[in-house]
Amino acid sequence: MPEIENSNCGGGFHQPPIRAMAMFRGSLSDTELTARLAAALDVNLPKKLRISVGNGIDVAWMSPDELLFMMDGDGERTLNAVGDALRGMHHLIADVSAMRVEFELTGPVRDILAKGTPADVSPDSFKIGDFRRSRIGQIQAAYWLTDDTTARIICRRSEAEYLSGWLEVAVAKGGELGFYHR
Amino acid sequence: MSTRLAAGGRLIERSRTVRFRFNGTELTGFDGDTLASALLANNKLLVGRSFKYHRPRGIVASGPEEPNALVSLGEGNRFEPNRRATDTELSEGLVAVSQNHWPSLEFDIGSVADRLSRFLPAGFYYKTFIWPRRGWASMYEPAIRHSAGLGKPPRERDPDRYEHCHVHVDVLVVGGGISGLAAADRLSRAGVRVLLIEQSAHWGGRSLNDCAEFDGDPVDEWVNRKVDELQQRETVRLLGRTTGTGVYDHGYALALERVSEPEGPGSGVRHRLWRIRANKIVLASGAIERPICFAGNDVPGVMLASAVRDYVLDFGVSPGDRTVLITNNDDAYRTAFALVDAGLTVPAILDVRPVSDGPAAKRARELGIPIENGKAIAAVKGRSRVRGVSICAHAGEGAVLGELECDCVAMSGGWSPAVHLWSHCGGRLVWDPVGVMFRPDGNNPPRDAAGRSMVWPVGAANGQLDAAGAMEGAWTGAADVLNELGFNEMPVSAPHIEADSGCPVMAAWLVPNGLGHSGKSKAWVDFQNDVKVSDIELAVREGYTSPEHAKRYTTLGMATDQGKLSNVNGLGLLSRALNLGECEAGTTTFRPPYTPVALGAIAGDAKGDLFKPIRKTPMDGWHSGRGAIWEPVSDWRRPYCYLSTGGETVSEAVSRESLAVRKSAGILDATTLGKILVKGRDAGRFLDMLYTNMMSNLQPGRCRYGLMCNENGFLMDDGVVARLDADTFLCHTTTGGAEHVHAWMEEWLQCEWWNWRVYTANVTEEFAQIAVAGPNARRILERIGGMEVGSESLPFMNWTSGNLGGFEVRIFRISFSGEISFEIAVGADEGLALWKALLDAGEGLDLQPYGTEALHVLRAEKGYVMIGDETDGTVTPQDLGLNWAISRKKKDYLGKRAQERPHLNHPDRWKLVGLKTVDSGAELPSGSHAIDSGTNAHGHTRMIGRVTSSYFSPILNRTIALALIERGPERMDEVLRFSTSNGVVEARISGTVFYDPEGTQLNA
Repeated sequence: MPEIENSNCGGGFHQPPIRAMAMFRGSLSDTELTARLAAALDVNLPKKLRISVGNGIDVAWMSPDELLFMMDGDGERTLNAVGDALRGMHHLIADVSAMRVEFELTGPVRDILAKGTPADVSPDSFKIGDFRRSRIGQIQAAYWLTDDTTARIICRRSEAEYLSGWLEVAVAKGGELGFYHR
Repeated sequence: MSTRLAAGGRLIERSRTVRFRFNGTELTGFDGDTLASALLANNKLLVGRSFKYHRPRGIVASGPEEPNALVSLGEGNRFEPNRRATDTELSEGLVAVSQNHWPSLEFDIGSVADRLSRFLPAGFYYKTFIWPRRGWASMYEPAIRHSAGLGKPPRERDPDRYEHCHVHVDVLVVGGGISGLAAADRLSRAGVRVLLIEQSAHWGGRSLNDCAEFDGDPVDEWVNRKVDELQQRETVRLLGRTTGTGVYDHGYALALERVSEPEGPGSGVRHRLWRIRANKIVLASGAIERPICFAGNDVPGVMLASAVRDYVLDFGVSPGDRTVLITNNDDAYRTAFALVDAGLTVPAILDVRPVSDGPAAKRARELGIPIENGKAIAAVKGRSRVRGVSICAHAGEGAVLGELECDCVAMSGGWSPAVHLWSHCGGRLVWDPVGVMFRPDGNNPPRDAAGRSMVWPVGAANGQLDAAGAMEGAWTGAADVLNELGFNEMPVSAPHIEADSGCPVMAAWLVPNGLGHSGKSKAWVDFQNDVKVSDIELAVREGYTSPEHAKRYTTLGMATDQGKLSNVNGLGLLSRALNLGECEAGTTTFRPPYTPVALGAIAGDAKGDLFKPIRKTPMDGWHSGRGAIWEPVSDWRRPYCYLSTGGETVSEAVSRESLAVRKSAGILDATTLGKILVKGRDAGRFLDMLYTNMMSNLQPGRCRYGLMCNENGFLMDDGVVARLDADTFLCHTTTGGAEHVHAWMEEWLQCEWWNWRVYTANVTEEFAQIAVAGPNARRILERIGGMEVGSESLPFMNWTSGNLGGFEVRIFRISFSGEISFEIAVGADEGLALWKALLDAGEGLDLQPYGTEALHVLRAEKGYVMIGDETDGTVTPQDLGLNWAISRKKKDYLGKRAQERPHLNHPDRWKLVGLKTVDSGAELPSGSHAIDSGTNAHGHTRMIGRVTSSYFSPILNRTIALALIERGPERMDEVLRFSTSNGVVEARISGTVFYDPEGTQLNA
């Protein structure tokens, strides 16, 4: 899959090192469950529409009863720790490390995202640590900012080629927007 | 004669010459010209032929409202028809050709239609449907198609780059004239995020030609200062060359930005479609001048008064040496002043009003311009350009009182607020008898989800046609919006403008008022669609009295300009013909887009490789390299078959692949099958409700085939369920059903059984799944080693997990081919590696990759049903003879009660059977109907069933088919007749299992 260094329009993208991922489903309004889960992960669980960054793990809010863990290493230890901590509590955890592909987008990332996502990516509404499950172009994707000029995007493995092609067009020279990044 | 003036032209740069071509002739203009102004400067007054009668037509307007000056731009793959010359910026090397004529613009054979116009009235098109009966297809349609129409469609693929852009703002301000600038200023000062768009390349709108001073400064200084201020402000974004094209529900609006005219591939974006979500929309879209309906008002040289002064003031172009002005309002007098200031002659102002004594008239008299009150134009002399006008009394029928020589007529029938975007999402209009215009009805605005007003019209768009009124309206409108949004502001004062006073406009729908039929037949209402005053009256006579009917009957306002100049005149004339009060007949509905949007801009980046996302499995590249012919299966692509090198045909490949599975081994990429985890204390109970058979008693390590019905009892999906542990099931779905089945599960869990302890996870993409099937399948797995796959340790319908030659896998011993078969699931990232390892292990065992068609052949040979082939949303499991998979023990499952309805149990239902063609090689296409003797209640041939799947079976060397037949299982061995495109084909009813009915292969 192509990688593009920051082009003349200032945007570029690449695939960062692969991380393990796990899908968690459980009631995030159950304080007992969330307390145990946070302790097992050693991270503050994200609030609605947010992503938490912990030590070697990102935890993204997917829905009122779903989280996504993105972990350095193989993640098996984390899965086991969660399983142990929540023994006897209703939940589902599944290793989904191969299910999604992650991209890192750099440059005027709000402008580039705005070309494909209907969600509000203005600085007032989309801050560092905000996490959006929306669309990019014609596919479903989730994205968040790690700083003002860096975004991470995840999409289905089967659609990674489409997203890569889409990003290639979106960052190409001549498409400078200058809307959110002046 | 139109020509370039020696001086003047606010927008042009005379030091920079621009060369362009029009109809093959090389011409020059200046930087800053529009194509229209450059054509006028070159005395190219005639720019096209009309749609229906092929009358010579010239430039009428100076903006996007232009009806006549449509040209085709560019060549080859950049050819684009129907572009308006009036808002096309002139660029070096531009190539334009006029449209709708043959052989040339000046001499057009089609103009014979004009001589025959009395035989081609409104509704002519519809009347051709009636008589003669056969005339339509053979005579009228080809002739009309040939002679009517505007530009030709481009023949090549558009090479340019287009994109979309989604932005969210507090307020979208449409229109960069003084009202839009003032509103954006006030809003953004208070901290509101504003997007201000302007359709032209210039800010300030009409004010620069029509106003004197603001805040004591010349108006251009005020405009420049405001634009500078706004550009500096962090909360504002300004976009020029950006047209607001549509307003939709919830403050969604579309705007088209013309970014650049690219020179070649790899250059920038041509158009950008802005998809704007605004909390509120301020509509400062200005107003559009109306033509006047008098005889000969379409002769080239008759122009809108505002356009005449725009060409003089903006581009230093004189549309004519002698311009007669005809008006019903004071505003048009500005045109006379501009012409006289430029040293041109205005022989007369024909003012249809009996009296005009305002400041404008006073100034005209001071300048020595004759004003003829109560006078009108009886006729225009000249055919392809104006040579003069004959004058009459407006009150009369047009008796000629005198003649004036002139080469240009400037007309003004008053102004109509550009209310299109107000109306798109339901804003109503009211008739303003004083201003003689439809204006936005403040009591009936377009509303947002909360029922609050979504669009604020300000300035001329709100009917405030004078600068002082417009500014005041924009200023208070902005305050209302701030209030609505809950913003506070520091006190600020409105820009000060001297108020105009003047003589009121007078309605004048037809000029002169009593014009007779022959005059009405030459008085155009809609220039682009060739609709005359007489056509509207004809429509009324023939009963088309509602505006919507009259519009469609006459085609008034239905051309690419959507009646920007014609609508209000048409409604005025319709009301007049119906003897109603001014414009009482009502209005038609404005719909997006405001101006045409290029298809490329609508498509955006969705072209070429990005046209549609195609889901690809981890083995996709391998399939590609091995000659895969693709089949789209939902959003995925799957190999239909693999063509061997050496000229193998598709049917040969399918035969080879299916025989390999029967005789040795085949390998299939089954990754696309849906995989849904269902976990929780109530998971078994939940699946018992979802599937027709029992799932809760499935033991861990075992698999079971299940059917899923919708609540109407019809078969929806099928697949194998594996129990992973006490709490967890893995449900396989069809490829196309994965998302739907997952959503179906969540719907029941979230809406109906919210207290059941079940979570689901769609893990389809986590695994690559590979089926290895055939007599040699087990040997291949054993060669890789690491797992026990013998029939003792892994019997049919069991699964196991382990390490297969270094891969962590789950192996399901399930089969869709009737052969011994293993479906191996591995992490998707290792799918390709395992695929290759299996192929290596199959070396020497005739292991062949097979595609979806061989899969279909194999399953049909065994009588296995396929969702979407044997089912179509009206088929129950009972219809398919799958009663064995329906639990009678269970109290309930989704679809159970529906399946108890009498109709679904009727003995006459079409039920699944096998078919063997009497001629073993005959083709029996799926979809073919079984014909019975006799007729049905409608007198049609009686149909008693249809073929659902049909294949040539290589192993049986004959055609086999599955079919749904009325009382099918009761007709065993009966020969039925099927209607096909190649005549009747006979086939004998058989059981559904054609191959290995005892299942010896499967259980080996």
